[in-house]
Amino acid sequence: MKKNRPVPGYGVFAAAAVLFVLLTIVSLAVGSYPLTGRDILQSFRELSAAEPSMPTRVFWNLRIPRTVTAVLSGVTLGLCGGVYQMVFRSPLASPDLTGVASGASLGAALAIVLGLGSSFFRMVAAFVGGILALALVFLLVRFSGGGRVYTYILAGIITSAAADAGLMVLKMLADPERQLAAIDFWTMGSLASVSSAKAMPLAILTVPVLAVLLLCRRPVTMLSLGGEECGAMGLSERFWRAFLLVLATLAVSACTAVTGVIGFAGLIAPHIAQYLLHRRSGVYLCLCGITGGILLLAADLAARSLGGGAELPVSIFTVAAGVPVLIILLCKGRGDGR
Amino acid sequence: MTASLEIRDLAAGYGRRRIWEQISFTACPGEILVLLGKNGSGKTTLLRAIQGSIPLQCGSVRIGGKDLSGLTVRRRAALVTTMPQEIPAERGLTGWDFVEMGLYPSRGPFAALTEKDRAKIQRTAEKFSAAALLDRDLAEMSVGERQMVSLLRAVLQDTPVLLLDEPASALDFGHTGILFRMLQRIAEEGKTILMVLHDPTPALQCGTRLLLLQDGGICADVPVDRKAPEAMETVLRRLYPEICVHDTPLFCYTETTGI
Repeated sequence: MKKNRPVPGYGVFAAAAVLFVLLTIVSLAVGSYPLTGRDILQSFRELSAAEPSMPTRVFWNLRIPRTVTAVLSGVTLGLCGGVYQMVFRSPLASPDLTGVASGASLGAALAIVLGLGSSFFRMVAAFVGGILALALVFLLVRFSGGGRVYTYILAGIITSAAADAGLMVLKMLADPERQLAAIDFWTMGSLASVSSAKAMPLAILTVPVLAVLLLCRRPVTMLSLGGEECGAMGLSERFWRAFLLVLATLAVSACTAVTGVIGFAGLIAPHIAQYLLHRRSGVYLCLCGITGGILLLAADLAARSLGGGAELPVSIFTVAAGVPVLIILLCKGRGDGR
Repeated sequence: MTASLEIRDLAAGYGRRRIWEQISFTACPGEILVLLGKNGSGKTTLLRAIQGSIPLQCGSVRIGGKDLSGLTVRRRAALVTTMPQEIPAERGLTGWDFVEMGLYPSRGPFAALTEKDRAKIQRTAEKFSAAALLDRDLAEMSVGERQMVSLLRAVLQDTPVLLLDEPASALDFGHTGILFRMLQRIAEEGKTILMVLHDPTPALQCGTRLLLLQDGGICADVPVDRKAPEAMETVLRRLYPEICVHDTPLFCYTETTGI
């Protein structure tokens, strides 16, 4: 009799974690003003210096907020993507599904067009847009009296469509020289304008949410079996599905508000994690988060170093990475009957 | 003996449609009730209503004297659980992951499994000769293997009342024998079992009471008397007019299971 059933996948998990940490360190060093290891150590020593040197200022004012944001957004998108796919019981589910991305885009575009130009206000408007989209989804679900999986998906599609229509109207109204470009850039996602004033609220909001989601691994797994099973096993399907969705969507809209729309990361991270782990229990959700973090750190590194001095939108790279990954997974999955 | 399961005046259905009404019966610990009925007569609906996964239109369900209507889903799942006809072939979950969920009513959403819990899961699986399934992926199991895993989960939950919806519909001969023998042993330990079966043969061999569901109500509620095949035949003919019940059958059984 096996007493200690080994949890598989610790090797894969450790490798992913090492890669994650390495990329985080590289992300701190690389940029239009490269920092050496010595600069970074120097920055820690000069933390409370009266007149910090240039590398120290770059490190604390640019690199740290940017890397922290990349890590938090990546982990949030990946982990919440995993939660969405389990809770919705669909490999197609992703954080955009509940209309958050569209709602947040609408909020940000509204702030841009109304000329309330400070980037902090734009962030708040995007966050409010995302939350309103979520509220609308729940209202629709409530109104339809459903509460089954597909009700949420349909409500999300309706909300996305409505928000997209609003976005199109705003684009028509926008000043084509400046505002239209700003809206377009926002919907492609970028970490270029991140400051500690934005990274701090993001951290305050996402870290506790991620911790709670990780604690709720068991309900998440049970929800992936469907309502009838949940009832027989004593899990209130409606409560837990709503609770987990609100949490995950809250975290995702906070990220979207800061970075703009980052495509595909939340969709492919869970698929990569499952491919590596072959399991969707135990450390799976953790690995989803780490995979998302790796993806976004790598995409952001590419966005700031491949443009030749100019910042590129980060979605270009997450989507460019996502397409081949999905094709490979599609072909690998052939013949498994799903 | 005091009744463990009391159903009074139950009516339920979907939307405004009533599938059946005025269903009342009580069952004692140790009884194995077999629910027989044609397709669409509402057998599964009755199990759902007792479990509480569909709302009752009227009537009450009590287990051990407690009315289920006021209880939370989790409290209810500590008193009664259902083994559904089929469980989803979710890729990435092993048999162990699935069976483990039977401990949810007692452990809750966060508490980690103890060494004792793990031993209990392993022991339960071995009792049903299904320990090999614990390490396999649900998506790679056959329907029958998933049925076995589902049964292990329900048994592990250790509820006073156990509802089974066609538990043997996809099991092989050997495991069918194990299933019915184990159900008898579980009933002897003081549990009440209510199961839906399509085949009257195991119903007569393993059940202690037959409930016939027909035309929106229970049309017969009789104890199984293995020494009176004619009486059983008369009862069963209400559902299956051409059925014959013999007491000297030429049937196969295995020595270990006796069925």
